Amino acid sequence: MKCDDVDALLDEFVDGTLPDGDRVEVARHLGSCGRCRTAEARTRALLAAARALPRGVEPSRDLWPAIAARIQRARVTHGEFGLARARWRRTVLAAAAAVAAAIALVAVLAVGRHKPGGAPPQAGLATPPGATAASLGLARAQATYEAARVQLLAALEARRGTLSPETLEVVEKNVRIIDRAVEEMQAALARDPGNRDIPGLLVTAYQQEIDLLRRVATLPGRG
Amino acid sequence: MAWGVPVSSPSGSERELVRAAQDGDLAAFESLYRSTVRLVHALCMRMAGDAARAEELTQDIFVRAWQKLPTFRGESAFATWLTRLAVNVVLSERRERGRRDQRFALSDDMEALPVSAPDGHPGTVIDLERAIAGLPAQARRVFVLHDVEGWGHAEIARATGLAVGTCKSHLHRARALLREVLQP
Repeated sequence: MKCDDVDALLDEFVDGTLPDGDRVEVARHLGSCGRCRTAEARTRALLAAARALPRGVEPSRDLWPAIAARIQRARVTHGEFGLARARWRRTVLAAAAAVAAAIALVAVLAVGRHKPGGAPPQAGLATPPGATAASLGLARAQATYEAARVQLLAALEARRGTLSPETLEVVEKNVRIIDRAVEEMQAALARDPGNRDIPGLLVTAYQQEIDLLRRVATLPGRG
Repeated sequence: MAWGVPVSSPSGSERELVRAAQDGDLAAFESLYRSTVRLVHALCMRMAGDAARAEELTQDIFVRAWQKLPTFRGESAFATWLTRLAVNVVLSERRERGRRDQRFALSDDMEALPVSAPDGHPGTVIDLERAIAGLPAQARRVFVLHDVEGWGHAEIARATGLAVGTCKSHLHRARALLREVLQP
């Protein structure tokens, strides 16, 4: 058995799910190959660390008031599913997530470390005539996204010399894809302001770009 | 069998709380929430890899749990039932997000980007949590379910809709990436 064969079977060997014949062969190889033995030891250490992770993690804030409010507000009764309400709620929550992600990202840039749970900033937008709560939520998410995007693109520019050309190419290509999608959806929303699907799609695009740029902010540099 | 969640039958006080919540007692449901929220939130953090989304998902899961409580028959611990529900909510949210994302799908080479190196000192719990959060999405979910929650591949395949072989490939990739990122 060669190293590549052992690499393909190592997970099941370590998990104890490898059939006897293969298990004996892998064990024999490990007895004579230091490189594969190191991989085995590191896999076992990783699994031990994963199993030792804390079973519980406290949220950054008490989520119960919001949960209780949602249960009360939606008059959720046992076994009843308000699909239309749930769909719209997801859209609004997605907007909130985009805002939260943008704020976390700004925090990363400001202090060089991710600190979840910050309070959303005030976008300071004028209220347009006929605006609904949902459209205002989208407008605020959009404003926060735009502000975060400018800062993140500046951060990308600053890191240009530390990232590989291949990484830069992938990032820039995907930023262009998202930007094009955002432009198309903004145009579609301008043509059809009452459309209830576009805001969710738009917020998802914002979220994707923020996620992408946040990932870039923490990518390892060259060398 | 999962090693992260107790599989025993519910205790007497838990059974009473569940029964009261099933009768519409929100205070009883709050007690159940208080005793299990850390478990659910940890699962969401690791599955979603994002703190803001994890809190949003945690809320969704407890609202869904309230709705589905009548289907809980007490054959397992409440936490076991809730964990299963939580995984389904996280995965279905991901599938819905995936359907929306297909409208402006990112290029395939996104998955080829290197995994972010975690801050802090190698070998710490926070280090591993950050490294897990930096995994590609599918690899992260399979790793969390298999290596943190203790699910089997067949179980993961049923929940995710992936083939067992695909689950194994994702796990192999996740472990290789984590070994690489976490090596001293």
